Amino acid sequence: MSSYQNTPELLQGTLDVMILSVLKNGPLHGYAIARQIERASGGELSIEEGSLYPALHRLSKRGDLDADWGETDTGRRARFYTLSRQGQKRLVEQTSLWQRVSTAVNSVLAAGPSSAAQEGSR
Amino acid sequence: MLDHFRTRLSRVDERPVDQIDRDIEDELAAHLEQLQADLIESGLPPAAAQAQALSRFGDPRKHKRRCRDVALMERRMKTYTQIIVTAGCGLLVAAVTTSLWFNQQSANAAIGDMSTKMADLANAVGSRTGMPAAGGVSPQTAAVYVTGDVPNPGQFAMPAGGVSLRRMLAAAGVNEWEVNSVVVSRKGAGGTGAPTRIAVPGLYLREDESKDVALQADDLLTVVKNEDASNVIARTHKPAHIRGPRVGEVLFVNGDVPNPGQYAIPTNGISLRRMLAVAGVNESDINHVMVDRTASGGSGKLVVAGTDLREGKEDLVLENNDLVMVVKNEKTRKSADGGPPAVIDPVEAVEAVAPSALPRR
Repeated sequence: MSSYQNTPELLQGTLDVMILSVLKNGPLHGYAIARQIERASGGELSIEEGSLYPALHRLSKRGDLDADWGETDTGRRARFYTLSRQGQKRLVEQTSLWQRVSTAVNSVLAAGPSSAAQEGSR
Repeated sequence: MLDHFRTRLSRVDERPVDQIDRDIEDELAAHLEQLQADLIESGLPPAAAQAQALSRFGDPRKHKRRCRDVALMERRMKTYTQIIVTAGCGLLVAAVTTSLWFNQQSANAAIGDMSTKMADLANAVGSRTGMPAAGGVSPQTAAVYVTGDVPNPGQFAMPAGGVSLRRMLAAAGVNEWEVNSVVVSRKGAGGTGAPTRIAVPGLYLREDESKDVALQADDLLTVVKNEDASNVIARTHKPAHIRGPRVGEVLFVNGDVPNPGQYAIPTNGISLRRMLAVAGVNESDINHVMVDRTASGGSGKLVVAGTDLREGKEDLVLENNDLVMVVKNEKTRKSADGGPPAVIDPVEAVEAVAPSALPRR
């Protein structure tokens, strides 16, 4: 199902921004958030689903998310998370940051080993 | 930093801990059940679906513990803060209390040291001026007697280097500015010669130091204040009879006396006025004095009026076993003469008297 199992290094910063991102379209409970991330990444990113919850609780306590108990489509009791105004602002900031880092990393990767060898031969 | 700390404390989850635990468990269980149901729906057998669901979810206990830590973090922080603040306050109180205790100890030590120094100073002053160390009776052999209008009448030790009249008056608490006159009654040479009297006007004491008088042992000073100005100085003083050395003889003083009790008779004898001074009697307060000589087989009772004593008309040499009864002005002559004495029994007085009250020879 997943080709890349998350690690703490991956989760550091990226899980929070992914959660904020999938919630920008409306309230979701934890299971739905996990499915959204899985779908959006094309199955390439799959997190240990239980680790979503400490992150959700941390973001709620920080004020980025609002949480309320409700019922799922199947009638099951679940906690629904909504992006707060503060969370929306943080999502913009984190997205911008991630794009800058991603671009920088892509640039490094695009340089490739041949460029590094040319630099070393000078 | 402080704002961040305040913000964190404001996020304390106020739910009861068991409620927090139930909410976490419900949320995690709902996820696992939903995942398992979807896997079964996708065609997996229930057992395989359960196993795969657990594999993808991870250890539920670990996730519950981490959620619990997030929920209770601020609460623990608040508790630790309260403990630290309480401990800090306790330490502060202990430090302040300890500091105050040490300060008190230092103050006590300083007061004790000061008291010792003052006692030393008082002894030094007493040795120079003849001021009694305590009780008005000094262990010195030589003494000066002060009576009349004196705050502290009594017997004062004669310092080895001698003492002047002005210093002795100061020792007896006399304010020079209130003195009309002082009469110094002095025994004759060798205790047998003709006595002399030296009248010193208060004006001389205050304004002419050269008029000061060097006192001698056994001098009797009679102080008259301005408001009681009388002709004490001009009156003839009837001298007390002085006889030879007397050893082991005692007399008793009782009645309206600051220091009643048994007194040893000095080797060269003692007059009534001097004895009254020794016992702390202020002559100006005396109505009369009765000297009872019946215990020694003597001539019975002799009554001396206070006015005669004050004016120097009457004085007498006291004898062994004499009982001196003093009656102050407010007392009636009857209670001292005929009626029962309004004072304690002399025998009891002898038993009650402290050894320190006995004049030293």
